[in-house]
Amino acid sequence: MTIRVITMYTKNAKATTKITLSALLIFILSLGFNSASAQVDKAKWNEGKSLFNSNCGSCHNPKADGTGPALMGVTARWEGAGDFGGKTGKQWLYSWIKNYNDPVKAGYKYAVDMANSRPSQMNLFPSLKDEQIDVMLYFVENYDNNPNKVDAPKAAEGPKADSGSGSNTTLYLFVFFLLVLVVILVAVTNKLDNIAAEKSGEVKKANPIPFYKRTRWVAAFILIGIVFLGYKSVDWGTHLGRQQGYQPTQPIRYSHALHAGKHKIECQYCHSTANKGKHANIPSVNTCMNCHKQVNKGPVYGTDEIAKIYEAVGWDPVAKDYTKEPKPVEWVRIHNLPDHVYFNHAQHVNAGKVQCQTCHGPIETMEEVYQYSPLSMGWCINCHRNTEVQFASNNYYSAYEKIHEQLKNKEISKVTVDKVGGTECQRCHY
Amino acid sequence: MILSVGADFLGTWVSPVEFSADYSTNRKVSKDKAEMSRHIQIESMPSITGYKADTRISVKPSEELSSLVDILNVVTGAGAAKNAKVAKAAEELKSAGAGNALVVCGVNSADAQVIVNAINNALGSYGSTITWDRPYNTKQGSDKAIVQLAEGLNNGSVKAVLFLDSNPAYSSPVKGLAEAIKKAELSVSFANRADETAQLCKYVCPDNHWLESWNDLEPKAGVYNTVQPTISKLFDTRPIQETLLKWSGKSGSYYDFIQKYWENNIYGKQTKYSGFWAFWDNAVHDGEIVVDASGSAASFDGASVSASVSNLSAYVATLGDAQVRLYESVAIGDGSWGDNPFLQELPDSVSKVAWGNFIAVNPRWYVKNGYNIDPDFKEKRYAVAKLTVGGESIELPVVGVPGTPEGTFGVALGYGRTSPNHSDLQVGANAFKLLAKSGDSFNTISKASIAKTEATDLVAITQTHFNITLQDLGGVKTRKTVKETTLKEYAKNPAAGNEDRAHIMEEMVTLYYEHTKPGHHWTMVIDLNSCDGCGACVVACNVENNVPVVGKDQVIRAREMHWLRIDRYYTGEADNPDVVFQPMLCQHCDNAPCENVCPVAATNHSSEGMNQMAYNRCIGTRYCANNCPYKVRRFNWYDYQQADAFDKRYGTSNDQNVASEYLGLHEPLTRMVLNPDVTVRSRGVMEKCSFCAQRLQAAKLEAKKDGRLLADGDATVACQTACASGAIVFGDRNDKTSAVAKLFSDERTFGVIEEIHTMPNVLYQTQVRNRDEVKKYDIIDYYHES
Repeated sequence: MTIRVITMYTKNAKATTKITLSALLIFILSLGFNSASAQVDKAKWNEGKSLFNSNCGSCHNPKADGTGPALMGVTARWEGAGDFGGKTGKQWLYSWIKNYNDPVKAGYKYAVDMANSRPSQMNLFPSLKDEQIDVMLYFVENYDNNPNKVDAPKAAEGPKADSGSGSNTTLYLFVFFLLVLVVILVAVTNKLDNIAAEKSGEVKKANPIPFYKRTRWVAAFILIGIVFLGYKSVDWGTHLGRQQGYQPTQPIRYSHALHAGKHKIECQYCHSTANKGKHANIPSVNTCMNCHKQVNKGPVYGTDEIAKIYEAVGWDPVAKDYTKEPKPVEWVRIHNLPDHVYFNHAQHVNAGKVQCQTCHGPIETMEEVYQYSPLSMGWCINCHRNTEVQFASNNYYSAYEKIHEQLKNKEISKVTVDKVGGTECQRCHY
Repeated sequence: MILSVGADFLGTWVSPVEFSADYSTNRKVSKDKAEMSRHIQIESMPSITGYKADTRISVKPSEELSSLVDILNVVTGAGAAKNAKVAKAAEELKSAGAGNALVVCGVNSADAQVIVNAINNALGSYGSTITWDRPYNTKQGSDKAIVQLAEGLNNGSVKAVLFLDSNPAYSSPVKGLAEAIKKAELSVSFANRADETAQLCKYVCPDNHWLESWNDLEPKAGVYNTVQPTISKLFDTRPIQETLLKWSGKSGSYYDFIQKYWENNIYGKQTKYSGFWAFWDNAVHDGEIVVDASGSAASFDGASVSASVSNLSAYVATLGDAQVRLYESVAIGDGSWGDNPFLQELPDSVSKVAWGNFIAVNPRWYVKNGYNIDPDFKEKRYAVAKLTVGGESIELPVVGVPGTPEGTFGVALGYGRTSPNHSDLQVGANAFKLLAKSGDSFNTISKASIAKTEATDLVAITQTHFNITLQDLGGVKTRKTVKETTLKEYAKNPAAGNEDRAHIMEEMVTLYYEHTKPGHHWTMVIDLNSCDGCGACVVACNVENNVPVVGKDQVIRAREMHWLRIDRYYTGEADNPDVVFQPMLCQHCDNAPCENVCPVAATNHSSEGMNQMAYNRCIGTRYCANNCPYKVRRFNWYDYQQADAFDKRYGTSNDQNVASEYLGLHEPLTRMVLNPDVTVRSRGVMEKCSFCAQRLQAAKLEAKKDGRLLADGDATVACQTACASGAIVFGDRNDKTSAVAKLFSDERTFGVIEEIHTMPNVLYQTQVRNRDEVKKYDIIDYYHES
């Protein structure tokens, strides 16, 4: 009896191990999908954002008082104001947004107080539907959980190299721990098997060699280790000093989304030297003042951020004159190539007719600028291999007679940068 | 026909850059123009001008003076010449015909110059080779005045003294001048660095650097220049001109003052621009306004000639056997820029000595008198001798310089500065105190005595560095790294001296595939006939390409980093050899031996014919340098620019008290010397000439931006722009109309050691000498003769 029980136990133990292993596998696999923030509905958030920006954004910001008050928590505030006249607080909010006069006329107290609290009057939006308002409110309430935001290293000030984030290391350690656990469990199972076999009087294997003493196992383990660690170190090494996604906090909360995106100001209006010189300049505050002499209030931060420009340029907005000592704005540099690389903006923007967005990403949607591209050599070279030069339109290239001939004879179909030597060392390194 | 007596007009005399340009214009030969000027140099201490001459007559310093009398005698027919070679030269002068000859003399003696004028007068040079319309306004110092100043300060008649762009406490041989300056009631120096004189003055009012202020110049009569600031001032300085305006109670800036002056005094002299503002804007933009020549002709007054002849002969009689010849070296000159490390590290064109001066002697005398202690230049240790002139003496190492006659001891001025703030820059000995007074002037030639001391000193001589001629196999004789011919031969056969090239080109076969150059094919052609070895190209290259200065100790170890060096070849007779200067840089071989051996492909070939060097790929095996037949690759043995010390400077703290050895180029001021477009190389990587890739890329970009073809001359390299004599021509060989494409197929053009099929993209042109004697390639080795 005892023997049977033990055998049953062993069988059960085997089953348990299998279950544990599959659970482990599922767990490990699921780890990969866990990291992304899943709670915010990206489509809804983005729809809300665009609706908000086109309707409310010029006066309101979710978090800052502008012409209108900061809106985050507005739903809760109205709901908390209570029911009145058969309508809930939220329904009164819809009504306020469409035409703020309606709840005031109806005598809803919260609305009356609100109307009296500000000197300016809100615009009327009679065409907005309740569903649209819902979407906008969703955006406002979840403003901080931007689902589009790239996972940037948390570098508050000064550039920091991306040296592998902490969470990854923990993950790897955890996986390693689990693997060790698997090994131990397998060992225990084997041992129990052996004991069971011994007890049941089955023919015992002669000197069972534990797996960790078997050459093949050990060799396989070491090989896997070398490949894994080798891959990781090369990967880590090539990413040294790269800062893709780097998004520092700037001294002025200048929004490209507003200027370049909404107002469609040409990039080179401010970064005027991109077309002519090596550097695309950070515009001086005088460039800001071209518009901000008149525009002294922003839709998001109100007067706070624009005041910083005035401070830097020494402008007195009341006296409308430059009266104070100017001092430079200490912008935090985002894109930084190593010293041994030569990069020229004019070459790309002017001669190559490359769009700013090709390298800088969807800059017109960025509230705060982050580094979109890895700025790695592989990234440069790939582009040089795929991008066509202005071969036909720029007369400079008429010196490349051989290539023109090849084009004519249809030996090649297009002239990419590397065809004119664009992947040679001394085009960028000298 | 030019005859120069001790005047180094290509290197240091009066206006050498201008003279180099003019001189080489008449020395350029081509198939259509197989003619050139004839140049004879009579000199004791060899100069680049003498080495460049068609005929160099090597004489003792005293004979430089007496040869003037000889020439005068022959030219005027007044008497016979003592020196036969000089007499022959003088006969040539005479036969050149009136108005075709010019005699110049570099000896600082009024008597000598009177005789030179008499000779030129007799030759009919006035109005033809010497004109009066644009006399120089430079070099107007007066030896007499400085003697008077010292007297006045000593006896109290001079109470105040201001020093601007002058450093007499260092450069004047007047004894006791330093003490005298201290006696002045008011002494002010406007020096913007602590020079020897400023240290003695009661007040120092630092002037701006000239690139920080407005200024105007009139270097030659009727040539007016504007100088505009290119940078706002870095230190708390004030332009001297504004200081003087303020002191004289005038208001306004110096800019306003200049503008007013130009409006009142210069605007009226020209007719090109109407309206002052058009005139002024163009003057500032162009930097130069040339008005009609205004100098009035003068006639020669021969009255003092006989007195000068007897004065000079009397002085010659006192000189004795051992004579000192003081000279200025091309790099350091009078020593006013002696604190510039670029210039200190530039090897002297004649002697190849960097970082310090020395006593130049005849190599045979050198061996005879026991100075030959290191015949193989292994350690570069030289015996030190004490040279005494009058009561003053200096001790310097003795170096044999071929072409120096026995009994001549040449010493360069401009060394021995004590004020530079770095001890490495306080090199050599001050030879100004050896200047001897003769008449009203300080003569560079005087009687001397020399005594060997027990001491030895290391001399940073680069003569044996990067040797490419395989001395053991016969040197220049077997490996024709330089090629020469005479004008007569050239007129007969444009390929004279270069006859073997046709055969070399026939023999060229290769197993390697040829690199395609679909766009540009950068090529350089250097005319050895124009190159005078001044070394301006070397310094230009250093500055353009962030080439580090390594210092005396490292140069002695043959670790100078120069991407471009001037090789100097001695051929012909041993005591007065012919010299060919050959700028040697990366030859950008289309079949480059360095590229094949690099294990990491850090050096490879571009589609524009350039041999590229990727510093960040280089792992420092130095195979490439070993395999380079031209020895033009340089290895960074140390972190010369301290690029790797960045962490030590900035990484851990912003503490300003970081040890000064880590400051280096991290100091904002020092860093301003760097070209931001060129990488600063770190320790352990190879580097070499890049054909100024940054300049080529910039030129191409300008063309692309304008949407036009790159024109010949758009893309220039640094050495080429610095070359006053136009010896370096650079361009795109694929552009068949370019100057370089034409020179490429010229009969005079050859590649150095091209018989080994390196297919260099830097080519040279045969040196042509305007004389009868034909060149013989001989090995000159003074130091191992039995």
